[in-house]
Amino acid sequence: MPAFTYPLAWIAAITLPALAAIYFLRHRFRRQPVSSLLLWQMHRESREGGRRVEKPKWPLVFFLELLILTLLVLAATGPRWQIPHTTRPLIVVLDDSQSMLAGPEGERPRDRAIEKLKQLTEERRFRSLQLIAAGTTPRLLGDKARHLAELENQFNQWTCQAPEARLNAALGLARAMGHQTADLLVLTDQAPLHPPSQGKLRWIALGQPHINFAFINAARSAHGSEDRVLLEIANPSAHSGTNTLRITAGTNLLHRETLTLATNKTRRLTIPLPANTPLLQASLGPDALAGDNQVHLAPPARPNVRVRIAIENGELNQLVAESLTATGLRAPNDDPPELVIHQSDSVPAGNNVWGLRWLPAPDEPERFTGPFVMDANHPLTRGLSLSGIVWGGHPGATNAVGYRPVITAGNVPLLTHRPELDGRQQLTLRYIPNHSTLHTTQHWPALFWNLLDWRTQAQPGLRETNHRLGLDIPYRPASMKVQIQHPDGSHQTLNAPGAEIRLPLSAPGVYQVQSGSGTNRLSELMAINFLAGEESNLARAVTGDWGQWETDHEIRLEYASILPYLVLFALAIMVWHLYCIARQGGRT
Amino acid sequence: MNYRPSLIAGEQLGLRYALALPQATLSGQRGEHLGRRAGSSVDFQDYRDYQPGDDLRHIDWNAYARTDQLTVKLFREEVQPHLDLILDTSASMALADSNKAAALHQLAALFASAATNARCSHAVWITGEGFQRVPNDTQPPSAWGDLNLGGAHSFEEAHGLLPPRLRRQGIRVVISDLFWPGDPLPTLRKLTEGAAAVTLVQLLAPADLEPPQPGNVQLEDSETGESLSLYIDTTIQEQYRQTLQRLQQSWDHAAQQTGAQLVTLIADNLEGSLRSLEECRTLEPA
Repeated sequence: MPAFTYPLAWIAAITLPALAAIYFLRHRFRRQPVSSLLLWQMHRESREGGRRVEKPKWPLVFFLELLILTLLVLAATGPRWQIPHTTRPLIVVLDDSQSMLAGPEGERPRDRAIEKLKQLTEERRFRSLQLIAAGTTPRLLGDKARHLAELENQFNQWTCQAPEARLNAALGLARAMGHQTADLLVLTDQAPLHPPSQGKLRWIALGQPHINFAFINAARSAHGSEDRVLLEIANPSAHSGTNTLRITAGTNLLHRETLTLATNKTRRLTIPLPANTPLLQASLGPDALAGDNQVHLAPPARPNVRVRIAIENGELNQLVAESLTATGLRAPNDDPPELVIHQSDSVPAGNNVWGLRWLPAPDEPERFTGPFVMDANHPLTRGLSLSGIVWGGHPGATNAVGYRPVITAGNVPLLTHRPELDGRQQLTLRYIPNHSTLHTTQHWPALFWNLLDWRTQAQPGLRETNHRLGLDIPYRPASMKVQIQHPDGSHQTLNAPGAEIRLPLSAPGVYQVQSGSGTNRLSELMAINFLAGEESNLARAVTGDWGQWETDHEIRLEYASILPYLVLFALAIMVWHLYCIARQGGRT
Repeated sequence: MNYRPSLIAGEQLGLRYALALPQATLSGQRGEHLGRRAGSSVDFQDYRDYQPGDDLRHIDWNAYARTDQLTVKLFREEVQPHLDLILDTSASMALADSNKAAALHQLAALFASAATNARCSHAVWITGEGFQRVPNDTQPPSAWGDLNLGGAHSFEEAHGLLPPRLRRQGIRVVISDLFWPGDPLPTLRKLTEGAAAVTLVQLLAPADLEPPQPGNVQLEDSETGESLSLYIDTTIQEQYRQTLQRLQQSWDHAAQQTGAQLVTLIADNLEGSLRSLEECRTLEPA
């Protein structure tokens, strides 16, 4: 039985008798007695008039119009008809990790998964299909679709570039979306940790074990005037194998080595390089998984800070200078300064200029031996220990307004910090070297290293130039816009409203990141490498089918709108009506 | 429907007119008009030899004395002309929603009255089961019997069934709408045969002249009862007018061939149309 969403629309059915009345009135012939039909039977029929109108006076077009009106009135009521429906939607969790690309083209788990999904949708009807890619974070590939053919575009977005597949997180999302009624399907290359029982989850693994050599670690760091490269290659396969390692810088071959590794063994290489060595590329010979056979290592960032020492006391000036030099983070020049160490009351002027005010020694300093209280979360106290030292300070000193203590001796502030609204930091140090022992310990340079390192973190640009795929890449832009050149040569511009952003890069390769303009323009080379030992381990790839959906079919009668069919039918009748009118020369 | 008032009105209207008489071809009973044959009037016409049976009063005795030959003096015949009024009383002449029937009565009475004014006898023929005389048709129109409009037969059919016994050398006036199919010439030849003069008066209603307004119309033949449903537009209206014109032309052509005269009168404007009867010398002022 049909149901009507807007039963009041039946009022429009009044048009039906109205139409009949119009036709009746229009086709009513007024009676006209004439002396003789002689004069009328002699006429020739004209194109329009004169055509004899035969009874009955209800032409076909009347019934067509009646049918059109009936259909439109019916459509206006919003009729809904009970139609059998497949009740269950299917939500498919697709493993988006790189291991789904292992193997030759056409036999990769990804290809087999698509084929399997086609097969399943042919065997069983679902109300809708929804795809979720399970990478480091689950993501929807698009809207729901009624047929698999509508998902072709979504399959193109299933790139399998993630360094890991968080299937459980994706399954959680799928369950939330399915409202406990959807059938769930996992297509991966791994076996489930806990095989699903009879229910709504079906887990299908389509992987195959392969021998695969992979980079599982790659780093390039600055060590004084040279760079040091660390590479770690593993054979996480069930069988031993041999592969070739090549390390090149541009067109120069720096290293070549044939690696023979037993199962689950690794080979670690440490290679020193001159600091001016450009982008480094390390590669392995082709095997089952191409994504882990190559790494790029960009020259590491060597941040430094321009420090100006404005201390008149010669001994103290020398102490500070030596301490800064020991950190290796001080720039050879100090103009324009990024950090000013001074003893004046005023705050150093200039944008992005931090200040460390070293308070002059009082007439009668006090030696503090503890207990010292440190803000352990403060950047300046990282790795710092004050046990057993003597700190000469100002007796009875109090904390100035706006400053927060970093190191105190009891309730006497020794090192305080005040952040300013524009991002600058102002520090106050109460330390009298003549009455202290801290500067004779290893913690003194550590304190200054922490200071300069903290300052470098506030500098624009990348902190690290080599990243592992899947991790956050922080970036401090020098302007509100950041331009990124991707490995494929495409360009992307990001808005950077804050002081620090996360670069949304999800594919391995070499990137050029730029921001700022003029003399502040910053252009940096950055490499993202696929380094995922677990993902490269193809020995765990399996083929199997776990879990079954509860019922093969569950059909339920549901009210579905038949309005589109009525409108289409009405349109078809309208075309027929138009044809009839045209054939009759425009007369009804 | 009582058409007596129309007869009386026509009779009174006819007092203004007299039937125009053709001199050369008159014939009739003894009367007051000179006939075309020798008769008993005072107008001398000719001499001829006496023949047995001639009236002895017409022997010219003076001539007999001079020539010893019996010679008879011939005088012009004095005749009374006769009008045969032939009325189409088929149903088409009683067209509904028109003054056609009243006009027929009025016109017939007018002609009868005009004939009396011209000292003509008259007879009135109507179409029924053949042509029949109207009761008391020799009397003034107000004394006539019913004309029995609505006859089942058309003029032509009635003529075929029983033709009117028309007086030779009489004047014949036919009043009809002339709506019947076929060639009018044979019918008109029969009407004009032996007649002194024939006048065809085509009496039409305005509805005969002008087709109905555009639209769906169911036309009903007043004689046969047949109906025809038509969608009338301006084209059809024009075609109707042309057809009517062709019909009138065919009658006019036949009238010219037979020496008759055709006059068309409009029922609703009868008095205004009578001038055309004067112009064709059928009527003349009394």
